[in-house]
Amino acid sequence: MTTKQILKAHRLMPNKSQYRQMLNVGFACLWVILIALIYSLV
Amino acid sequence: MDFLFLEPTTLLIIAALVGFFMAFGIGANDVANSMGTSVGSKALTIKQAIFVAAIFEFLGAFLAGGEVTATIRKGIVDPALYTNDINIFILGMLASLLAGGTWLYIASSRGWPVSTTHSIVGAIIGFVLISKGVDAVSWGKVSNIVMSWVTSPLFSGIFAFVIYISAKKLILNRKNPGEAAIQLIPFYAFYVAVVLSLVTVRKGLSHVGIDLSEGEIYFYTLFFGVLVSLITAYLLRANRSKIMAANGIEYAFGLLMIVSASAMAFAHGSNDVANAIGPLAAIVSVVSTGGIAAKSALPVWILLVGGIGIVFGLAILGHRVIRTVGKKITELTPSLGFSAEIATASTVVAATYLGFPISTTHTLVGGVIGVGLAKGVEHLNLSSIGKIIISWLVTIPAGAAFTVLFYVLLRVITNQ
Repeated sequence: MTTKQILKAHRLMPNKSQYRQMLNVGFACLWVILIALIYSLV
Repeated sequence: MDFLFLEPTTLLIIAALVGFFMAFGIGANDVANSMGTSVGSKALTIKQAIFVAAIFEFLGAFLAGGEVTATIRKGIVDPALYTNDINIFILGMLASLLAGGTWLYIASSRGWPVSTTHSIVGAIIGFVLISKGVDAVSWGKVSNIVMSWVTSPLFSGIFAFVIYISAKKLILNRKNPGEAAIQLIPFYAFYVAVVLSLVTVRKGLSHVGIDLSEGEIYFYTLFFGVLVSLITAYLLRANRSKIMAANGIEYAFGLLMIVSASAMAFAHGSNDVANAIGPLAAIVSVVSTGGIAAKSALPVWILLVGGIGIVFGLAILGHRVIRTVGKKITELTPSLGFSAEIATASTVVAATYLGFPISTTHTLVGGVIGVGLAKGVEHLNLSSIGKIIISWLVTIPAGAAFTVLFYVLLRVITNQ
């Protein structure tokens, strides 16, 4: 078993689809923060 | 208390329930980190793991959770900035807890590896950004916390590497590894017990009203270390026939894993309970003093809420996660697992001692990579390491964005 497999089995590293989902959520969250920041500055 | 938007008792009950919800999520999500390795390597059954985790998570949270709580409560933002906006401060802390808990729930249900620490730190930063602007965040303290997030997996990895190599040289590669294990494993147990008790008596006990002198600190630390090593030595000798049998060496390390898993649970409780009770402590301080106090004692009941919340979470939902994780792991032998666990537990309690909120999840990743390198198994390439780091980073804006949404919602609901 490789380190990568151990980490995935332990749920310590995302698999491909989980990684993509997390990235999408991360980008959406960055947009929310940006809008909030602009709103608070205005 | 006319200035509060709700009656103080109602406010405290709501805050305690939300804090409990977050602690429940931490227990459910993170228990696999502290116990998955032990169950996977068959050192403990799931029932035994839940039992050990419940006891040591609670002890860690209750006895040593106060120091990191102070950092979460007032390290990321100076509460004095909200002297004239007390209701805003309370709503922000409530929003942070709700955001952290919700993000944790979403991540757990989808199997995403996220850190509760990163989500609560991101959540509080999000609240400060929207309520007071970029300059109000204590960036100096935040950068120290972020540095600890970088150094903790590195330290844990190096330490796990060293521990595994030491076990290999001193025990596994000896002519009679069974005999060497019986003689030397109690020393590893002694080390674990001393590190944990030193952090507890030095930094934790003062938060529950127990102050010890320097002499008493060393006495109790050594006493606990000797006690744990004697119990380990007794168990090893009692199981000599199993250890001396063919391939019995891993049975000896399995016994040591009970100690290291307990240490992991204790370390996790001591550091991560703050993610649930830090914002709660901030709210309680404001409601009970009627203003923003520069210094306020941490009421013991808050530590109890955090500790009990974690135990409920791990007992009710955590076993599913452990079962899922434990079934998949077949190759992580006790000799590898204990090295990763001891390195992680030592790093996390060191951070607890310094008051840094670090991620147990990420520290364990460092530990597993460290033993992987020491064992010589195929290691991670740069692309995999990059993916791990990016998945860690996502949690910070997620915590912040969820807080922004909850904060706006709470302001509309409470008309503040």
